[in-house]
Amino acid sequence: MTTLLLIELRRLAGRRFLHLIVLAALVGGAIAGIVVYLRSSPTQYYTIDNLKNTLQGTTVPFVLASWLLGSSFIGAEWRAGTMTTLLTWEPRRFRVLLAKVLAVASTAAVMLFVLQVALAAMLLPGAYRRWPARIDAAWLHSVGGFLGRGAALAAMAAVIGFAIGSVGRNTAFGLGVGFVYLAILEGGLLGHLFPATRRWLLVGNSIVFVSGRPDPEVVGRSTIGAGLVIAVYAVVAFLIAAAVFRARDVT
Amino acid sequence: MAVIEIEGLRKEYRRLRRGRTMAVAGLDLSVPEGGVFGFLGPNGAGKTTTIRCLLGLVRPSAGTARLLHATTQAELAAVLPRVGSIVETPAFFPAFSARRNLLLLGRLHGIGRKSVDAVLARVGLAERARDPVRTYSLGMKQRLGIAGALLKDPEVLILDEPANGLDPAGIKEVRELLRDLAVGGRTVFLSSHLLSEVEQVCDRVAILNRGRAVAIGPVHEVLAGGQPASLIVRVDPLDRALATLQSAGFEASTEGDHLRVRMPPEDASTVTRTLAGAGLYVSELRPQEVSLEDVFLELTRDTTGDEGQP
Repeated sequence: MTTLLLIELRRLAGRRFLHLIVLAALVGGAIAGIVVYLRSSPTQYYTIDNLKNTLQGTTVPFVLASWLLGSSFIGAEWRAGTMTTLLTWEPRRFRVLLAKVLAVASTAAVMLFVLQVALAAMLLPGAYRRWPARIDAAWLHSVGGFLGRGAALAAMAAVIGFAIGSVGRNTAFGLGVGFVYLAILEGGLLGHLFPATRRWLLVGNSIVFVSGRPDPEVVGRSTIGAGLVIAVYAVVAFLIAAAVFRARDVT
Repeated sequence: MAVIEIEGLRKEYRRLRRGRTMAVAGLDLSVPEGGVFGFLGPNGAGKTTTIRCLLGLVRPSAGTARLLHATTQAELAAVLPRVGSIVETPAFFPAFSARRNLLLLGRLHGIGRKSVDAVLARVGLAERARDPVRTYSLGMKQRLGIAGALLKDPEVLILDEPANGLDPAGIKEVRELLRDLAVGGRTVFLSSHLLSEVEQVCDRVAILNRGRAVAIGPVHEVLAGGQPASLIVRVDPLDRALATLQSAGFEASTEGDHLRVRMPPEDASTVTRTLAGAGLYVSELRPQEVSLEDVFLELTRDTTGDEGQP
């Protein structure tokens, strides 16, 4: 299992899509860092509290990118036909899928954490230029907390994206289902028509989980509770994908 | 001892748009250890589905497909290190090099760089081993597939159209490679459309049609069983010779500028004796050669081509 996981990690590390995410994040972060530094004036400046908010805000695209990473990782495998090749070497399908999902979840978590830290490092000179306050233990604790939770959320998003892509054997299926569910069902219908469902929806629980603060829209959900709800969704999605993978023919 | 045992194998695909399709309809087959076993059939006859059943990729609707006595996924995991395979067009990660693809697969069974480099050299890919697979031609991908199948140094090779996309030199290399493997004691299960290749390289064949085996056995037996043995006789005048043979009780007919006499080649002397007795002397007498292609076409003549798994 360890060998299989290491192989999947190497395969994932070689994916161009992952390289593109990292490149885009680093280039975007560098540009933002330069702009923030140059535009910082005595009357209008960027602070370390602004930096914290920026990092919270950038968690969203990273989590969405993780969903896409999970979905495309398995979708590309089906498109290229490499799943057939792999199964002629390792026919135990649950192991194969588990290794892949662990690889993509851990990569998504590390990706979010490392890129957020890199982004913070690039924005920090701008935040320090005019603002006398310095990073303290409370700031570090707060930022470290939501970065850690953001990394966990990225991992869970990758698992859900992977699971949907695996069931549909297609990247577009994973993205399409994600869009329809998040943008139309959660964003437009469920929350408005059935307010009681809000505390069980992905977006609301994600906000509570990453921010570490209760949300009036998600009644009675603690940070840990919100994380657990999303984790259960991710595990159930994976188990469904694994059951479908075991049952369906590979043609 | 049989390395592949298939009993009453049936596979029915159910698809929303196309309904039910019977890909394999009660196949019985036994492949003995050693030698090259040809697995022939027209498109959609069920060859690839049978191979997928053997490798655990497709679940049979009924019957069993045992590879080295393994049927379940857990049992297959134990025997697959002894089996190399190609299923249809070999698929590898296009962005990775041939070498990296094989190194990653090889790690699953503890196979190292030396073995990877050796198989890549054996299939003639050493010079392009570090190029991305996406830059390879179809023939090169096929060679890589063969390299992947050989990487485990397997006892059993299951090859689905391994010569697909290869140039004539490549086809000849594959033929020699398969013979070498068979001589070395391995069992090669070869699915192919190239009947002349199969005829040259295989010891035994099975011909599949509409998901069933219509002929199984050693190549010479299948050839003999496909059509009644006949003799080609050239003699002048043809009409008198025909009348002479028919009146003597031979089953003879005219085919163009010669006669065709249905009888085993070892009895040819009776034809010459009969004709000579009537003052007719043959200018040519030879057994009618039956190729595997003739037998194949005869046995699969009713195929519509729309059956089975594409």
